[in-house]
Amino acid sequence: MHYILRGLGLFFNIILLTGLHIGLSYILPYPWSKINILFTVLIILLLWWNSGIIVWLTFFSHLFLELYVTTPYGVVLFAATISILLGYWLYQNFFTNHSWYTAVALTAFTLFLYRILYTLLIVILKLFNVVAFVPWQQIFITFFWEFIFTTIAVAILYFILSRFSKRLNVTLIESSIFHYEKRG
Amino acid sequence: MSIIVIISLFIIFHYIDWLVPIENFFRDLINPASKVMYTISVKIGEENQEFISLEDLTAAYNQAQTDLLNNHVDMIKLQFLEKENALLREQLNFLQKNSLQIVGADVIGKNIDPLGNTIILNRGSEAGIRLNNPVIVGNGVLVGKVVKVEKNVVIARLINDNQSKVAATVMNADKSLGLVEGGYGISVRMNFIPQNEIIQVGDTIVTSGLEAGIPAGLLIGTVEAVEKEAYQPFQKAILNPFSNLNKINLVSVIINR
Repeated sequence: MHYILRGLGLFFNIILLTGLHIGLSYILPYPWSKINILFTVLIILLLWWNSGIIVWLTFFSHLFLELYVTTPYGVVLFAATISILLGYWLYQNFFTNHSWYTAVALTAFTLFLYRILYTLLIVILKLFNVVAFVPWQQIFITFFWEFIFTTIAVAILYFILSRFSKRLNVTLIESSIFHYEKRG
Repeated sequence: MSIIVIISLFIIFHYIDWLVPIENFFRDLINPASKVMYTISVKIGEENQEFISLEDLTAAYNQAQTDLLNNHVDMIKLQFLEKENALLREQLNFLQKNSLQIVGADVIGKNIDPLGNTIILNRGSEAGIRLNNPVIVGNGVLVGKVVKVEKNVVIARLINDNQSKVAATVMNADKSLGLVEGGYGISVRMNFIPQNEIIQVGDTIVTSGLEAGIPAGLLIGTVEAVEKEAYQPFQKAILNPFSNLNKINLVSVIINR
């Protein structure tokens, strides 16, 4: 019963998160509207939980997002899930520490990969005439603002959360080791 | 590897329509929230206006003062015209006159990906909407065409989208024909107007009826500027759409011709 409730809660939160992403993109003025709320939250959660469940959260949230985009079905879903998957792998093997610059580097990497995959898929679809016209200039301007604002948002959110959470606060971890050694 | 297989399966299931009930269920869950957010965004947009520089703000203020004065003069004329208009409205009810079948729809969202300038409507194939049906506001102002149809939701491409193309005619002496195209979501142009025909600023542009599914006479906009080069076979007109395409709340979709 506990697992069912937890699963339902998680599912409800994914819908809420997707709704928030869509809603804020309407409400915020340009270019702030280009903040990728989904990636911001997912990367913070990745740093917080350090669990592969984030890949599934990415999958389901972008599955819902697919219902509201004009891009051919699967492009956003594939690009986002694979980029977060690689971001998770990178976090497990390279960016292993908890610091704001890890958060920024991870965000920059996953967003960059997301948009590279997105562009690649659009190019392939254009070759097969599935996409008739691609407004490259508009797309790259959007990517630029998304990259800047999402990275800043993650850095700020990480900074704020690290003041209140032991999981994200490198100073607290260091000090606890220090006290342990001192006691020993 | 398993995640790629699952993504591929979901994409295949989507295209063979196995996911339709699930997708509709989630749309029904998210749509009300999307509608609320979109309405708020339109209201915020109505209250605020952005200026790039102080000069722009001063110019806008001066313009507003002039407009206010003109409005007082217009107000007097308007009172006389109101009575006349009421009579004409009865006679010229666009939809009745053309016996068009329409479906009313609320705008519940707009594009969130950079690939198009579109709006999401809360009616779908169940209401009889089909691909390429024209989307209008008011009494016959064309704002876009349907590009994606689901059971309870459609996506309509606005006339200022890069991929939008509408066969149109200028209401001048020559009844010049051309193609109205969008430009990066910020402008609307009319191309392929024969060079020898006279286009003037202020001329009205309407649909020509030469395109399947789009009736003739739907209002598009007025000519704001004309670009004419002596060595070109065609001239271009920059249009000012009749409807503010960023603040659309309620539309009608013409489902027959």
